[in-house]
Amino acid sequence: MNYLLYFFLCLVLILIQTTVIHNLPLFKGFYDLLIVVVIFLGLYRNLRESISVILFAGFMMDNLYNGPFGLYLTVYLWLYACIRWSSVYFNVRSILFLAFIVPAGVLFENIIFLGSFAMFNSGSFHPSGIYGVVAKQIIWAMITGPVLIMLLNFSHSIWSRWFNMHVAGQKEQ
Amino acid sequence: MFSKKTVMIVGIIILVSVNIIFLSVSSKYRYTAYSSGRFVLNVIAPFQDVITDTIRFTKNVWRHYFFLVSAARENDNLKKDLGRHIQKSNEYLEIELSNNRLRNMFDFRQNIACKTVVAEVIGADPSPWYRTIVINKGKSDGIGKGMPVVIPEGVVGQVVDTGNNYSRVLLIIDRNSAVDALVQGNRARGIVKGISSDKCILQYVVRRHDIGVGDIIITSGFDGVFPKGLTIGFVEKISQSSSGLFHEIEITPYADFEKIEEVLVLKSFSMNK
Repeated sequence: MNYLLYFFLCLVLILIQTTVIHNLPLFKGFYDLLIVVVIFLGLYRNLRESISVILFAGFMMDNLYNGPFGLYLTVYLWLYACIRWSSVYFNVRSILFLAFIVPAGVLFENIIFLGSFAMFNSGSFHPSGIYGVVAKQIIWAMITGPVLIMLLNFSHSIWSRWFNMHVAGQKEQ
Repeated sequence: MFSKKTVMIVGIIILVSVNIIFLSVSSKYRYTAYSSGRFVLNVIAPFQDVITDTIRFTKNVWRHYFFLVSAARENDNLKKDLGRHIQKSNEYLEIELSNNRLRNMFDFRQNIACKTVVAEVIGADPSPWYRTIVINKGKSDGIGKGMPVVIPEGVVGQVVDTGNNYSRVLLIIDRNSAVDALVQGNRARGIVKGISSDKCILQYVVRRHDIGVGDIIITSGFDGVFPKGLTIGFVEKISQSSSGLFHEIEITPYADFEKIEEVLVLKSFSMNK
């Protein structure tokens, strides 16, 4: 059921990114919300569950944007690997770490994207707007990132409790 | 034989190399004949359609109804009556605006000597670095890859991928877009390229041509995609570098890509006949 929940969450976030955010001028230039999901999975969920969700999210995003196929998958998988690796060395549950890791994830995604522009030389490239776009995303990530991760964690614990009480409990009976 | 650290470093290097090779290949063959993008487009686009319609409806209600009704609170006796009239008047206003927009589109359609399809914009690109939109017309409406997309104000872009009922349009402000163009006044030729911001740049205009701020840029028709004479935008800024053969020109497109709701797809100008 967890898989279904996270697949559904990814779909909702993708729809929000491609429709709702574009209609709200305040949120123009908002960061990729699936980064929050990837970080949450890296911090709190097991490998098997996380990888399938990340593959699904990456596949969907790669098919919805106009860049080279596999770029979002690359970002999500490497970001996930970095989060898992950093959890060995840092106290990943602290607020301070959360406040740092989401902007870092956003920065990482932008670096990979800009790197791909430079490496594959696909299309024209004008550096004038880069700083504005990246800075806006990082500021949004700093403000909303930790809250969203804590909200995801809280929602997941409520979901688990509800699921164990109603569905798993009924099966046992 | 090798330490764990060495194996890990080599492993990471191999993974990164495989990753780069994969991306390099996929960037060259973005839209293949049976791409999975079409499947995802068909799955996601209906939801985008519903959400966009809901957002527009909510926006209209918010903009035209609640604001005005709140003003009517001053007089309780007239509140209901006023609210009803305001609602009616807003309905008329909305109909009038929609009528003007569609009449504009219709006039434009009449002027263009080719078959066209009117489509609604239902979604946008999830990445800020790429600029595409999703429209609610696809193969079943006769839309194909390479068809130009326009609005009365000017050129919007071209279709790059189609599903049965939905299509993806590459906007002229996307970094992968290029349109063959002319400066209307002196017929100087150049290429309008997107830079993934709200502006475009006009490249390869030879410096001997006299270009001024405000000059109108139109399609040349030489690229075989867009018909000749459609407006693209106007010259916003000209940078004069001391060296180089060409002008560096920044263009503001006439189309406001943040506010486009309906577009026209020109069917007869498809490259893939």
